[in-house]
Amino acid sequence: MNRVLRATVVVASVALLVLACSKPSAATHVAGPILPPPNPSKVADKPVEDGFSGLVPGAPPPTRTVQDGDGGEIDNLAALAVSDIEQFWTGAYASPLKGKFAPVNDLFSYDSRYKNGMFCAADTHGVPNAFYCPVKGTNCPDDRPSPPGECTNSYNTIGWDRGVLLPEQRSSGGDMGVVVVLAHEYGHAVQRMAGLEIKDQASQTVGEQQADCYAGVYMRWVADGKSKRFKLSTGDGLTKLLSVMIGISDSLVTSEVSETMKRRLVHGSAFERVTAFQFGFDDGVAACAAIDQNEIKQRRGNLPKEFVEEGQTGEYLISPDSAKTLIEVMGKLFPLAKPPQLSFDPAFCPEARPNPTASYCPSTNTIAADMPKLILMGTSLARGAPFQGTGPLFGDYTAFSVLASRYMLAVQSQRGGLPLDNTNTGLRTACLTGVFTTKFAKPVTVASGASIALSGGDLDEAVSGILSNGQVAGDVNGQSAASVFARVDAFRSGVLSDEDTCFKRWP
Amino acid sequence: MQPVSIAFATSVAAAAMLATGPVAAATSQTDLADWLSRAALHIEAIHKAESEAYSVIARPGRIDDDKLKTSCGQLHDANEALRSVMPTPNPQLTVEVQQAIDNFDSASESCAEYFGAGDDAKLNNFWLLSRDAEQHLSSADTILVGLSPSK
Repeated sequence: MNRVLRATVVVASVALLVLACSKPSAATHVAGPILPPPNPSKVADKPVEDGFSGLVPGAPPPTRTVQDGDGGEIDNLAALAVSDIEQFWTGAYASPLKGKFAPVNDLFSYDSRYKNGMFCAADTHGVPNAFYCPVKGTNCPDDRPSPPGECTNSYNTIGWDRGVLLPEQRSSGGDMGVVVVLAHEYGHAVQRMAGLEIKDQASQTVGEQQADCYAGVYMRWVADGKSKRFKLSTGDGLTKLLSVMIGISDSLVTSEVSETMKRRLVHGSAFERVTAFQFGFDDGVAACAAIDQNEIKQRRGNLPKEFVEEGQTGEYLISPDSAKTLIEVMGKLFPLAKPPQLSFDPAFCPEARPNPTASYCPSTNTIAADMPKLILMGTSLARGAPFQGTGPLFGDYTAFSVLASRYMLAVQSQRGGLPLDNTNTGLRTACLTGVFTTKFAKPVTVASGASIALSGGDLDEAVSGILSNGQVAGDVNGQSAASVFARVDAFRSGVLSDEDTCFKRWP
Repeated sequence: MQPVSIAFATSVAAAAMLATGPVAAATSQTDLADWLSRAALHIEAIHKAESEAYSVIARPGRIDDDKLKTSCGQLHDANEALRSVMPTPNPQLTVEVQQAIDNFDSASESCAEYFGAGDDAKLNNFWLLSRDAEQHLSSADTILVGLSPSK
């Protein structure tokens, strides 16, 4: 959230980018038909199941070698991933994709902690990322004690940072956290084969979303048990993978500050990335090929695009005071005859089990907030930096959205006639929290005279929480839908519609 | 509104956890939340100073020396304030945050040297060092995720 100075132009906004419907590819709004919600216990017509995700023991060896690698575990995992992705695309590359599938020319590994390395003719020092290089340039070894080789041609190659990025990805998302990065980069190679031309910022946006979509197509193949190297569970495995995927920004092959700033804007929001991935996961290659500027424009509707806020970090200190302020804001945007009381005591509630960080008790009309846990949930050390490194995505609104969702249970309780303890309740709650999120994009003045509003990254922070802990989509007992796609869909539905839609879609 | 101190809120929660859960885990989360609350303001000040410095550098035309000097000074001061709340309650977290502090320290030194020599390489160093510092903060976030079961 942002504090907004009174009598100044409002600088806060929220990235409201995608549509609200069960199938995100069809544009919708309040006036349109209310589509049935997605199955909360299935993903791609398969029951949601937790289980092993990652490299299968005894998997076939990689079919690709790595240039300038260190022969370590990370490079081996990356080579296995690319080999698997290529095996998939060899069989899956077909109409409506134009042309024929051809593997990328080479794989290149670097360590961003060392100087003088180059990938795609750009400095790799301090660049923890992975890339697809579509142009003729050079890939060069860095300044490790014994550089093993000469510079090579970068055309049609994939490169990655084995020193920082991939270990971080593995630490946060397990083996599949690494595989999804390379599936995304390979998606860029598939685009090139299919003839997508990246010539401006708009086509770059299309490119990023298609790459996420192609990653989704491949991951569905893995989730279907067709990969000999990797497994992905449709429960915790998929959730973890999406959580780490949204934490990665665009490939930044430049050290020019201004250029980097510009490129940040190309990076889609968490909504867009999850939606694009879901297109591919659910509907396959044709859905990815159908992503173009018009389709993205239609999905975004008239909503403002996320932007970098100069002079603002967008992060608001999580404290009892700010928690009270949030509840005050909610009271203004969703006035209730009996406003719920905010408590920092873990009070006993006869009809509901306590939730991990914040609970609503209908009989006492009290929201109980566990402040240390909320602070832990929403305080990021990296969020708000001008150039955030590679790591998990979370921030103040990851925690505040959970608190907001408990207020939305009070809204439902006082409306009457609705059960508060089932999966539908959780999804309705996520939807209503989305409605609040949109309303809170405009500054609200509270009793202290301060004016606050959401900041550019807040929506992503909420999506991150919905993916990783699901508490925003929790019912009064904290139980949420098993399907991660259903949870995100419900929140998205609220962000882009209104209260009525939430009550109609989840009666 | 009446301010409610963090100490009050955390002690209430800690008391509740003592009544219901394992002592060691509750203490660790409370200590961590307390440290985060103290560090967050300094972290915010660091990010703001960095953003302003980058904006000055990225603006087309001649660099506004006065503005850059102010931003780099603010970065130095905020970094020293963060140093004053070290160590964190977790050794691994301390390592990452300390490395970030060291890098920010070198970054603000590079910035100061730029004014002495007018050497653009110093600005490039400033940029690389602060980016390294941010990467350590991201790594610290990864550790925080591991320490917060409900995240």
